Amino acid sequence: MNILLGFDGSAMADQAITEVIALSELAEDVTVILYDINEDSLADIDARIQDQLESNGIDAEIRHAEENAGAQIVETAESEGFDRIVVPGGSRSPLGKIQLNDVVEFVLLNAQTSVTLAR
Amino acid sequence: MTPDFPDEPCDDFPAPPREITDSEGRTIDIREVEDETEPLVEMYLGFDSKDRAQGIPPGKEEDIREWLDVVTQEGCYNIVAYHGEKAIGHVMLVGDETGAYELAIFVLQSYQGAHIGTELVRTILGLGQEEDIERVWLTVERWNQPAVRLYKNIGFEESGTDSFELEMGLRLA
Repeated sequence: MNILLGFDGSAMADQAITEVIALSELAEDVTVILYDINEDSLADIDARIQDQLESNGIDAEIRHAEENAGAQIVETAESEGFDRIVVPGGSRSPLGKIQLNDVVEFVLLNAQTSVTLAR
Repeated sequence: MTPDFPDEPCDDFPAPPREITDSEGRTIDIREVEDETEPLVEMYLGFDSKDRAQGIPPGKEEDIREWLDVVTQEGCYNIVAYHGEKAIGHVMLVGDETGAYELAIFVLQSYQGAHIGTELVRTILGLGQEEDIERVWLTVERWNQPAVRLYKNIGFEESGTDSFELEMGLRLA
């Protein structure tokens, strides 16, 4: 199974990594798209994810999204034949309500593959 | 994610504590939460999952307790409706990073549709006015028309975003 993972640096994004690691026996090709991450911490986060996946036996390719991350995730999944998209399942409001952001909404509505929302 | 707010402040609201009679003739006490959250834990343990909103209240007891710790911490406002000793409704205001407050309300199934929710929201807005809170916002699922109507009747206005949930805002002062 080829997995495309969206990562935005949120708590649920860390959960998304855990999700992919749990699927690692089935995962052949894992590609990560980083989005909505501050320019200054991008290199650190890139390295951290690479390490985390590698130490779990996953050799992942990491890309950085340009403007429209949702569209890029959907397009990449389609054009490169991914079987599954895993994205962080939203953020939490001050009082704990789950809020889906633009990227998650776009992916859910437009993807032709199954999407996992990590919580 | 804080919505736009109406330009004009709304009317005055009643502050707690209050005693009301709901539309089924039950006497309901409305008062602020002091330290004791056990009645709320009991209420949420009896909560039907169909009445969850955007992931809250959580289902498991330990998650309920953890969530209640967050919403009852210093600087948050919580009001509970009691029927006798039993907590049957809960409304809260939790501050965001802009100085506005997020509102949420839950009413136990068998007490819904009796205007308790409306009075709970009006009462916490009265408390908010006493505490000089200026802006209150909430999110609600678009399909939850009874809730959207309730908020509109109180004075909340839709703040026009096209996300899954509807955002609404109100200006208290």
